[in-house]
Amino acid sequence: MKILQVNDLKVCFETGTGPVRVVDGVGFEIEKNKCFGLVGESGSGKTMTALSVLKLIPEGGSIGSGSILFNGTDLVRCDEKIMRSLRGSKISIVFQDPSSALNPVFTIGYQVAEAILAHRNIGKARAGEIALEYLKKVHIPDPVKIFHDYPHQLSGGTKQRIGIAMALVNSPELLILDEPTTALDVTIQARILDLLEEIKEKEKLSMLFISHDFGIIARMCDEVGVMCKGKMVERGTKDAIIRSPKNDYTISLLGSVKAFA
Amino acid sequence: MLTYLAKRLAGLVPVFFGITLISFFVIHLAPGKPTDIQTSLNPKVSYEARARLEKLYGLDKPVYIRYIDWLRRVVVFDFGRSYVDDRPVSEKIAERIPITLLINILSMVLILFIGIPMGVLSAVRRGSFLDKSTTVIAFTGFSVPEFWLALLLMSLFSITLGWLPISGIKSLDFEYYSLGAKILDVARHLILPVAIAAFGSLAGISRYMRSAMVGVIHQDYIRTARAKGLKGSQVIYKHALKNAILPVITILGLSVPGLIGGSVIFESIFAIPGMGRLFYESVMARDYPTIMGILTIGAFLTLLGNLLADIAYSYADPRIRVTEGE
Repeated sequence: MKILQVNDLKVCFETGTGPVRVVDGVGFEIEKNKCFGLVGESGSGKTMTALSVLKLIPEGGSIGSGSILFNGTDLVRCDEKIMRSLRGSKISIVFQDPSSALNPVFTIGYQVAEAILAHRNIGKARAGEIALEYLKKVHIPDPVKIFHDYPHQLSGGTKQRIGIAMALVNSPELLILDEPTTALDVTIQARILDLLEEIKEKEKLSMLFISHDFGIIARMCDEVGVMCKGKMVERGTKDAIIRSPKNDYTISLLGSVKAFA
Repeated sequence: MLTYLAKRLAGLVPVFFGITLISFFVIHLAPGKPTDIQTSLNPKVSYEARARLEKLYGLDKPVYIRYIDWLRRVVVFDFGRSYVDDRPVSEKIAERIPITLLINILSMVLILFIGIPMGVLSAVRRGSFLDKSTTVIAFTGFSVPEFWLALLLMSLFSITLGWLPISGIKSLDFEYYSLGAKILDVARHLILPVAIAAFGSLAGISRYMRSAMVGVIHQDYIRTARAKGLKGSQVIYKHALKNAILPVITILGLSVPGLIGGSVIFESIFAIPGMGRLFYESVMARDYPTIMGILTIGAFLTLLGNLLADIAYSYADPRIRVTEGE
């Protein structure tokens, strides 16, 4: 059973010198309850692929062609109203930089509860309770205090945990993680990865994990797609890609990891 | 918060006296004396008479002594008497303030309720017809001189169309009107002055709001808000606006002293007996007590406005909120 099937996805950006294709014919599938890793260097189109799934491509860009089937429904053809009902409820995303991803003028509790209230017809107090529950779930120290805190009072790691809690509150079927640990210190990175592994086991959800770090991909994912300059150059199971890469770019990318190791 | 307030207030006291000190000395740098009109321009006045008059006004004493004298009276809220008509300065100001305050508050309301939505809308629909037309209006507002626009509008609405009264704040037979007619009469007189007073700042605020909003819309947290599945209106009017409004609060705080300042130009054009004209007349007559009275109130309101802006800012932006114990 496949939760997401992306076929021949093309994303274009209008620039002063003509259209630039940032995602060029990408296709992959995510099995239910599996984690698919998208790996590649900066600017290879990983994030744009992820944002296409939510149809949150920044201004100036658009999906040129292709289809994105989520549980069999083509998201490319869905209107904004349907997309809005999916965002944050069925498909959630955790962004790269937790310091800029949270609104500085609202409390943590408010921002988490808001994600619940956007999709469920419940009272604010109840939404607050659920939010607090999720803050505990992502192992935030002193959740009651942090519930009333503002983002600037918290560390990067804590903020990313909140980002994860916010993505989980509506029990999504697909969780997109866009380089969720890149902006963090190495020690914090390891703890966030622990948390994500725990979530993967407990929550029964499918993941689209984006990273430029083969080490993290190897740890988290079941299948991997390698992206380079907007194209998917190789795709396969984690073991196949790591043990016997076919593509030159994949080999050089793996080589750079080994060089450090 | 209270300790913070107390500290801020204490810090304002020396600034306040600094402003009065500088103002006092600067206005005495202008050539001429309050007695000149009665003496120098009149050949019959003897040297003794002039000296007597100067002594009466205390002008024979050195400037710093006069400042200390003035300060001694001001701390008990006595602004002295006008040199021009010997009426208390506070009374002269009190009779001019209401009309200026009314015009400026009305125009401020206009600026807020039109300028902010205008800026937000043009930021949200960048490049649309609405955005382009508000841009044109804004730049027209910046470049067109107030007095010129005022004259054109007077010519159109008061002379050609005859819809509005041309100047002043009430009709000649005002006293005979019923209360409702009185209010209507004043309102009709105020339409043009208020519109003119608002026009220039309206342009400024809407541009300011637009650029603040454009900056905020591209922030990551706006994408997060959309990724939560919030409605477009919630994203714009809650998440974006609350961040974009912050710099505008500062501008509003800075415009508090302007509320009583009045404008010499449009008060003269519309024949409105407001603060702007009182100040102008006092300066021309070297009426030091009145000038100082107005400047003192102005200084006080400027400082108050800044303080209010800071307080409002700290309520709106948790990042600069003063926490307990800091």
